[in-house]
Amino acid sequence: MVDTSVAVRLEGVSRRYDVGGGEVYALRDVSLVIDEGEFVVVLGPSGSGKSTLLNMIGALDLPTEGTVEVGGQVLTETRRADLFAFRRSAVAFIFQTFNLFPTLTALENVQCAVEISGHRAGARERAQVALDRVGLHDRALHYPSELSGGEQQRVAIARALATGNPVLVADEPTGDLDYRTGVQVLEVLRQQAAAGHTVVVVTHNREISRVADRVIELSSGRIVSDGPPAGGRADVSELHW
Amino acid sequence: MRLGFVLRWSLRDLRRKWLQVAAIALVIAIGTGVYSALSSTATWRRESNDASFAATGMYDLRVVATEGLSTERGALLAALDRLPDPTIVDVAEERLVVDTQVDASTADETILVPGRIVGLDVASGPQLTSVWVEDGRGRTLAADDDGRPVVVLERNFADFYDLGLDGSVRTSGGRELEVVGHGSGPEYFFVTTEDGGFFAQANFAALFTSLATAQDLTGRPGQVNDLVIALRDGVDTAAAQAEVERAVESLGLGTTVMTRDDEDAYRLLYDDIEGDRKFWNVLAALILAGAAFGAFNLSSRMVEAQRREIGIAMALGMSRRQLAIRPMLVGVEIAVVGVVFGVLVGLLAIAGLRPVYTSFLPMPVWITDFQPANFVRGAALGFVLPILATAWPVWRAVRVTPVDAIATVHRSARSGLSPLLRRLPWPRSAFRRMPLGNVLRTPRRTILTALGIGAAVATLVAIFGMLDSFVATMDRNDEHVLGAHPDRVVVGLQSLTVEGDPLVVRIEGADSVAMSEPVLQLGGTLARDGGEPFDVLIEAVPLESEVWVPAYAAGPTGRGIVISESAAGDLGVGIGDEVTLTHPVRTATGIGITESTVRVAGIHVSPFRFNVYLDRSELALFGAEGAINQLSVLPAAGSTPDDVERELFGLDGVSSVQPVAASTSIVRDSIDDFTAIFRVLQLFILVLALLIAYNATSINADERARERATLFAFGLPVRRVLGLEVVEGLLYGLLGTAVGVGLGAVIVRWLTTSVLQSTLPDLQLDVAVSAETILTAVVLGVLAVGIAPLLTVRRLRRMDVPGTLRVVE
Ligand SMILES: Nc1ncnc2c1ncn2[C@@H]1O[C@H](COP(=O)(O)OP(=O)(O)OP(=O)(O)O)[C@@H](O)[C@H]1O
Ligand SMILES: [Mg+2]
Repeated sequence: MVDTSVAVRLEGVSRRYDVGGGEVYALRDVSLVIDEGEFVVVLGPSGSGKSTLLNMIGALDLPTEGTVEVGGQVLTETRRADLFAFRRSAVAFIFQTFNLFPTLTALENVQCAVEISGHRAGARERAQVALDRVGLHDRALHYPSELSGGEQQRVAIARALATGNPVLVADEPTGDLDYRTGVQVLEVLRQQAAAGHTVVVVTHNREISRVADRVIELSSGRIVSDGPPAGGRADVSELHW
Repeated sequence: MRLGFVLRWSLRDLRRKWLQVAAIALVIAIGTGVYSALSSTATWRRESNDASFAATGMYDLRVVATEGLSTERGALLAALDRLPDPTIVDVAEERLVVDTQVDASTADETILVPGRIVGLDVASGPQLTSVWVEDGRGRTLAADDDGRPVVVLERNFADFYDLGLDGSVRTSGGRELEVVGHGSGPEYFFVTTEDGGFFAQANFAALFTSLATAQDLTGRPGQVNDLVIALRDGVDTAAAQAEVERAVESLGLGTTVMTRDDEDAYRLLYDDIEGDRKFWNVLAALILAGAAFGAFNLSSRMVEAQRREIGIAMALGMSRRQLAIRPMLVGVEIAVVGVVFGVLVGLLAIAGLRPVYTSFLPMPVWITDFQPANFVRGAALGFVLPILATAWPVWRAVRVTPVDAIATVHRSARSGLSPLLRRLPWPRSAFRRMPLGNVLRTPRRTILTALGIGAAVATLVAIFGMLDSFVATMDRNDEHVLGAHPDRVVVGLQSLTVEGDPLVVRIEGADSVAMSEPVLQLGGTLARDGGEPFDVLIEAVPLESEVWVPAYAAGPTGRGIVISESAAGDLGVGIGDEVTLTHPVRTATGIGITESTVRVAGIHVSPFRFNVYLDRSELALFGAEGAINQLSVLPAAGSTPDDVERELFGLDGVSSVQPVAASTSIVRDSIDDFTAIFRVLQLFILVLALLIAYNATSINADERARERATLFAFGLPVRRVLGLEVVEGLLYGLLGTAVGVGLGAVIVRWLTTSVLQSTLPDLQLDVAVSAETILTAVVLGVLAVGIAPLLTVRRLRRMDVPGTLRVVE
């Protein structure tokens, strides 16, 4: 039964790595449901499996056990070729390591993603708008090697926003940012959620989790808690960095 | 994505990587260029033969009188009027062709050889079989030379002895003739002996002169004995041959009528092409394959360096087709530039090969043009491969999950062969272990790099090794022919005689001769019951002799014949086995041909399959006890081979006096002409190998850009970083060279034993890869590759360290 209001559904998902004879579970028997328009923060110490979980949702990786369903599509049963189309139109990814194309300018990096997602007409304008939203309108023509880490991260965020895809996944999007910019980015992500996008943000910063609708906490690959942020949802402006 | 966008992006890639793109393109260019030139040689030779024979008026039919007979000038021509249809003859011309002995000695060298006076109608012609003299080699015969004592000396002979243009020659009667030029005619582009021996120019001098001079020299005023005929277009040669035979029969000259194909010099020039073509085509394909593999390897490595970018694009949802476009554009660029360069390299290769052919076979016309069809064939591969090569890594990349593709460090569970390193106790320092770790950690990259270098080294070893093999083979021939007495001289007799004949006694007793042995040389064939026979040259010599004995590879034991290793191999026999020898035998009524079953008593080392020896005590086999048509003699103390030549050459009944050193050097010369092509190729291959080796290393270094930057960030000086890379390069070089030398040796073996076997069935080549070749390969493969990182020192110094580090590429 497909519930149209469900954006992400994981059932019994495990991700196992075989390393040097032994086994490592990055995720172990994780089940969860995320609704459309939810703003979810995934919290947990380093190595707890946050990036792995995000990779599952973004169809960058597949579980060794369990099923993953995003936007009504069961990824674990999707042909490889169709996963390409899924990534193109269903999710937008913001990486922990920014992963910009080094030979493209900031603007071109964004524009490129817009075009890939199928919005060919006006791609450049759309890209420019996205860059403006992350406060980089004057860096549009810089190459990644000419940008600071935070600036690169913001380009990566603009790149994801510009696609307009319904599920937005972000791995430590504010890690490299100062307070003001961090707030700006979170604000943008919140607006996305308000506009009906599903936003999943990974962080190990408990403070950030306060702006979420819901906080999922991971430890050693398992969900240890799931619910609204402790002390209730806060506004971005109330955060203490 | 828009095409314009992708194109712009790709152009930016190109700006960053243009050096690699150009270098890979050059690799392809050398492959296709050399391929097209080398595979064109057969066409060149055929077209050049056709044009040269046409330009010098090669006959269609030739009427030859029995030796010693001649007729009034005009009689042969008049006989043609008796043809049923005299108009089938386009041009006909009478000649006087008489064998003689020629003394072309110079101040420093005695040159006494059999020869031939070719008297041509210079007054009214010649319209057929004209004498071609190249610019700078004197002049040809003119109408007013008729009757004057001037000759044009056959140029292959003149070249062999390095004769100048200012000299003169003497013929049998002692008449002095001025040499006005060195030239050639259609029957002498390629000099053969009566019995079909190749490269006879060391021992045969043709003298082209006017008809009147020839008549005068040979004491046959007003006489001719030879008629050459060109038929009208479309006339059937075989039918015309029969008609001409009937027409000249009544002249009573015992005439034979030959066609072009009866002329060895003509036929061999064409026959040779087919066998050669196969060999050069294989070699051309080999070089193309080496270059193509190198280019494939390099292009795919270049794209593979963008593995992460491909992964990111995958995460963004790019379709496979879109993913493939950008890398494949690089492939297309390489292909296009490669093909354009290829035309230039092809022209360069032609310029290199042309002199080899024109000096090997001096002919008036050499057409060595660019053959577009061959080029296109080579270029097709050169074009498709880089595109495939760039598509391949994309295809590979889309098969892994994007996380794996994006991973900064290769995060896959496999860590290559690094566990191996863990067990290695040396070197202790983690820093020093780095190069080895790099090599072991990514076996795939290591294998690709090593194979790239290996392909280059293998091609080099194959080409250089072929040369080595020829040299080794010639050395073996020298060892066999020269034996203990390199000053040995072979005296040929005009006719068959017996030991004890006054002429033989006279030779044995000559002042300049210390020792001599009788030889009977006969043609025959060798086979093993029912198998395909091949031609052999049988020499009956005293197998226990001070003068000369074969150099044995095995035996001799017991009675029987001594055959070559390759004959033994082809027949599948060893010592003690029986073979079938077809040979002449003297019977009561004359000479017949018979088959005898003989035992193999020994195996000699001569590389020539056709050499068969047997002891003179077995001459009864031929019904020819004591028969002799050659003598092998050693000069007396204080005498030289020249003295022997001078003393014996003039003797009545002696046809030739030739030092064996001259005959081995003609073999060497002719093989040198063949190998000259290899020498031209060597240059191209060296550049090819350098390019591949350098590129493989430089791509490798590129993939390490981040690691380099990190090392700099830790404060490592450029020198130390380079040191690490040089060590790593040396490791790849060692691996690649080992692979290449091994593969190259296998290719040399294959070329010499199976491919050349059909091209030169009579020559058994040694399989040799010399120390110099190995050294060249090692220098190139290990040192050049090891040093390649040093060439990047400038780029290293100017490296934008923070920029490189900042971008997680
Ligand atoms: N390819 C791999 N092979 C083996 N183990 C892996 C691999 N990828 C991830 N892991 C392990 O899986 C676990 C979870 O990794 P993951 O990247 O999801 O952590 P994380 O929660 O995102 O950590 P961080 O906050 O440091 O980014 C880690 O212990 C890691 O070592
Ligand atoms: Mg992480």
